[in-house]
Amino acid sequence: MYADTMESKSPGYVTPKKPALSASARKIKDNAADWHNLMLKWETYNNDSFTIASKIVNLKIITESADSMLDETTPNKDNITTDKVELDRLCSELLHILENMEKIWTKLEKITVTFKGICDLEAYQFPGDISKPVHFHTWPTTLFYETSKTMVDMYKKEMELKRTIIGDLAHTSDQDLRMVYLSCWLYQPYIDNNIKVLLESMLLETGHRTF
Amino acid sequence: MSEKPAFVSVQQSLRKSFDAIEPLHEEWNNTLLECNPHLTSLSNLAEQLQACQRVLFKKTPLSSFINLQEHLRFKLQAAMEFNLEILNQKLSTLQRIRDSVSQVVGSVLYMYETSIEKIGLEAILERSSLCPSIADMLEWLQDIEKHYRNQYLQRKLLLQVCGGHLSDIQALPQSWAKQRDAASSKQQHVEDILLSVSFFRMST
Repeated sequence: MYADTMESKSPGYVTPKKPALSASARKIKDNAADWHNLMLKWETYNNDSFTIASKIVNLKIITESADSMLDETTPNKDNITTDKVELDRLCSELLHILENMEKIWTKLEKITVTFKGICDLEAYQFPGDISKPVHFHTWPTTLFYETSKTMVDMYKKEMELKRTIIGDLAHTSDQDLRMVYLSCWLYQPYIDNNIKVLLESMLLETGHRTF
Repeated sequence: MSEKPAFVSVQQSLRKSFDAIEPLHEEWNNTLLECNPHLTSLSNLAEQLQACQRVLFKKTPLSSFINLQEHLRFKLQAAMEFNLEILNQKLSTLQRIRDSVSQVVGSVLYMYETSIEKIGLEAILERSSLCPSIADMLEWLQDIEKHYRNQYLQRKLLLQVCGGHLSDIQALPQSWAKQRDAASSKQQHVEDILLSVSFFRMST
């Protein structure tokens, strides 16, 4: 059933232990790789969107200080219109990136669902006390699902937070609140620092990383 | 003629000490420059942390998020600690430079003290257009050592405020720069000294 050629080439410490991966194992391994790539993508989007968000805040501060000087000088109407156009442009750009981040989150959800699917399948194949297969080193499939679920929950909260922030970012005039919005955006308070450990463990277990 | 070799060997060790100090001085300046971006980050983070503490989350659109303030504070503090750690590493580099300079200066002084009687006062004060007197050079070395000692201590004290108020941390880049400006004449003095001994160092 399995091709035996892989075995001779791969060194002992690298998964797969078996000559080739079963369908479930392959799916798990691909999922782990997807997790890694999607997280990197998310980081890029997060940094890009932060740059735009801070531009929005700066622009708001500039226009507000211009407004407060209204009585002293006649406002330059052209300036105000260009500022508004620019603000509009930045806001839609930010929304666009947020949509992309939303897509990433949906993909992460899907990955978690497939982990759950594999767990259900195994529960069906090996009912009751029959020990379930370990596809790689030590992790049972349920651990992949639980890890993925923990991680995706962090992103879920983060997504909600970002949605709320984007709704108010260009409207609030509270300077402190703006700063809180920006720090929330950049530092992602709901994504725990241990998420890297979770991801790396998953990569290590599936053989994407070696000891 | 026992004073001649003693005189020459003190001169040699002076030459060696200036040779050792020049790269250390450069390293010192570079290390100080490397601190700047981290000081700015630290100051920004302190500002963000202050804002985070001032905002009443309950009265904002963020009210539905559980423990958001704590989560954000934790993240900001972690980022601050990261920057502080780097700055402390820089500080220990400064300390190492200060100690190296002290060691170099100490060994020249020891050399001088052991051979002072053989050289005689007149030879010590003697100078030419190319070669400053031994007395002058010893004084300069002590000036340099004092400069590093003071500077290190001042920087260390500045970074120690980081345990205290956020407003102090926020003002850190300014106080750091103020420190630099206050010491700029001393800093210039070190460079002038290195320039004054350049002919002496070239002659063997």
